[in-house]
Amino acid sequence: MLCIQTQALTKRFGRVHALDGLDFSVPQGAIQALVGPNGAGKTTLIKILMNIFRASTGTASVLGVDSRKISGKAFSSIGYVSENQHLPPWMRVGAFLEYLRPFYPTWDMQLEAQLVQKFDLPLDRKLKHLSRGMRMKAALASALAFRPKLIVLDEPFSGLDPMVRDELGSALLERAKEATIFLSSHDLAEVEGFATHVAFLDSGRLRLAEEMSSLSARFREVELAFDAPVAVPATLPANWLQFSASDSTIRFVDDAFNEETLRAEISGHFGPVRSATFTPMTLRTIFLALAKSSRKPS
Amino acid sequence: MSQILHIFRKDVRHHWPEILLSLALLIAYAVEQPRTWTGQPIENRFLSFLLGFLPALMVLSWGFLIVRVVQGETLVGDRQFWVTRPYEWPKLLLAKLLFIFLFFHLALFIMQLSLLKVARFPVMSSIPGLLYIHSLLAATLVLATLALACISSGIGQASLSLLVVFLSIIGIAFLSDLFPDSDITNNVGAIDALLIMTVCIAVVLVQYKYRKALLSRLIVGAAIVLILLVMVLAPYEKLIRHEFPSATSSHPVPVKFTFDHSLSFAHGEKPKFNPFGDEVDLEFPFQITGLSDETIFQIRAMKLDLDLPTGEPWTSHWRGFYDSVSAGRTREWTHISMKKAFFNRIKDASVKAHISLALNVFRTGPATEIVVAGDRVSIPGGAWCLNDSSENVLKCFSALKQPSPMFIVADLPNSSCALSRTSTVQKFAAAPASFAVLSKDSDPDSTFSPIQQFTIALSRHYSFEDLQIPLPICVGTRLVVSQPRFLYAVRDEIDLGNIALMNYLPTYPRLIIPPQQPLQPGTPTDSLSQNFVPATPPSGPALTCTFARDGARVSGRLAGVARRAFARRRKRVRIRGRMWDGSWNGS
Repeated sequence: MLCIQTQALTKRFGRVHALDGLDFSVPQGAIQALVGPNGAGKTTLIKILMNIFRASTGTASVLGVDSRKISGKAFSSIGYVSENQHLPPWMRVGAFLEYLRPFYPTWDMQLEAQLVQKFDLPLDRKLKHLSRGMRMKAALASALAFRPKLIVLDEPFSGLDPMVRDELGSALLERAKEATIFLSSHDLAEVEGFATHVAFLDSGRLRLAEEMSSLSARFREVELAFDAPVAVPATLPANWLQFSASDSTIRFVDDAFNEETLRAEISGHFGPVRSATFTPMTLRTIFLALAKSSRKPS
Repeated sequence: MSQILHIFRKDVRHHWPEILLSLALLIAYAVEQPRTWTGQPIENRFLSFLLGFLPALMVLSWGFLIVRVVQGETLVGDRQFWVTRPYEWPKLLLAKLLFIFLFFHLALFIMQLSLLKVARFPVMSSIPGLLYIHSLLAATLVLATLALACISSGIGQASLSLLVVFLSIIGIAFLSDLFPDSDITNNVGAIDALLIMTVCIAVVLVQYKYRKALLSRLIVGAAIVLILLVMVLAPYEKLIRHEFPSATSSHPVPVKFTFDHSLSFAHGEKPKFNPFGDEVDLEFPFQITGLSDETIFQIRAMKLDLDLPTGEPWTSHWRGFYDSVSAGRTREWTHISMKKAFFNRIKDASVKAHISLALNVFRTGPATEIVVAGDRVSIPGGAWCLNDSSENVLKCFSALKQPSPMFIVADLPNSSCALSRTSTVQKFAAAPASFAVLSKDSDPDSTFSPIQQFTIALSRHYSFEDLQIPLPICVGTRLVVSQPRFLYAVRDEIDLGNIALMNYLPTYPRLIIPPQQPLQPGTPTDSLSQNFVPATPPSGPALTCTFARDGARVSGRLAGVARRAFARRRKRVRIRGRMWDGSWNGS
């Protein structure tokens, strides 16, 4: 069952293609991270999913509903928090939560109390007087207290100190048992900690989307040492990214790692190797390799 | 329903300062209004100045309240928290409308009912009229403000949008001067009103359902362009001809208009040019015959067409006129303006002229005679008046609407009424002093106060009927009041033949040839000659009054406070906020 699905989704702002024929899906129960550099189209995609923007072409569905029809009651099961969302500044935190309660039939007062305690929210403080981190925590508490089926977060950790990030992250993980989480971020280290799925968006195009475990298994930094300098063949396998050779050392990133196959390929291209190391990569290094590489990953 | 009330309660909690401000202004208006009926002055100049702005402040406070409450859940932008919450847009809109209903309509409605009660008008029978006024206010003030609030994201942006709309209105009004016919027919105005209303409703619905601010702003822009197009392209001549058709046997022209070639303004006198304008005002004399006693008509508009010596045609287009003509009148001077430069080019040439008149015909109906006695006079049609002896007029009040059509003629008594500051040496025309308000419209006036104030002032034409002067109403004046009934509208076409326009340009001093016979002061001229005002003041002992308080003393010779006190036979008056005891000397 897919929680979010898009087909050939395109969004144009004048001549700029913010999204360009996006086919993408988020399975139910996943913690899906959408990563990519600034201006990649992450926020645009989320705003289309939340029916804040209309797609230029293509379709998108959220919890089985056409995103263009997402409004009113449909938001009873979607918790959305964005870094630049405008909360009513004049409301006190307690009044804000109290105001939202009747909108949600599934609002859980006990959970609300837990979240307030966990986030240490000052209920009598006006939202406009809260720090950025506190405001995010208040927004997240209001988006989690009704036990949504889908939690959508747009850059939730942006500009927050590590302590607040940690608190938000752990609160999200607690909800992950009963909800699908879809969050965008350009902080890869943060996402790596708890995302089960990851997608990489760049210039409006989806460069990659898969489970974290398969991604980690697929990418390796390869370093080969030879006894003497070797000649580099004219053609190399498409899955070798960022290939570099200096003296008797060759380095590249393999995006389809299989040790047996790789050793055979190395032997076929360069002959005997003195030593070969295959280092697992962090999400950050994987995406840096992808971003820097002009070749499309397999 | 619960969501509507929930949002409403939140809005009340948030916007209580704005609510209190608008209610305070409304209460101040309700307290202030009765004072304006009696014309009592306010000693404190600053307070008096401030109270003059009260209606404008009320409108501003309501506008502010509506904009603020709508923008509590702003419809412009993509960062509002409520957009991704389970708000149902019809309920959100209804919550806002409930707020506006309670704190604008209901508050104003209660204030209006209380004013009606204070002014001793029937409250229950006025409710349908009040509901009509509120439906108009909802369709204009509320809807326009709501639409404006929907396409702006803050008070600053709303003010800017208001400025754009205001400038557009000024632009349209300026352009409408180029199309004088547009004032005559109601059809174009009705189309514009319908268009504006439709656009406002469309903008509100589009914004609440789709939040497409750009689309909504384009709709507003398109509406402004459409209004301009309607104004420019409307077939005014056709519409006016349809509204005022040619005479038929069942709907004849009620009088015969004959152009009076014998009258003109004296050549050699200084023409009466308006030094500040670029137009001249021409006057054409007509003789009127055949008007029955039961008929009264209004010249709603007129048009002058010329065939110039060069063969080219010229038209003044239809111009509003609003002159009422009743039995006894023998002349009508129709006014038309034209550009001074054009006039100077053709003023002495012989031009073939044609005048078209648009008339509304009324039947006078049964009349009621009332004699002005004391301070308070009741007028048929549900109005009552105060006899304002200082101005020699009746200052009248009615509920929701001035009684109209209304026609009053007076046979003025030879009493203190004859005292007037105006003297004359001209004969009066045969028609008695009269006052007429002719209107086909019977709908209540869309104003905040349910008490309509109007003045009944009599006037009478001089013998050439080109000028009329006000005549006094006072204790003992007999007024014959009728409420005419609208019968039909009709158009009359009159050929003037070949004329020189210069002959019809008024002179200063105003001198008509053949000249009028000067009248000796004090000489009666006809059966209603009591209206005649002697040139010299009456002789006899002067009437003086003296008011004293705490040893201080003020005196007056029938002037100012003393005169008003005398008219009301008062022995105690308020001068500069303090009560003074008075005594009278003389007779």
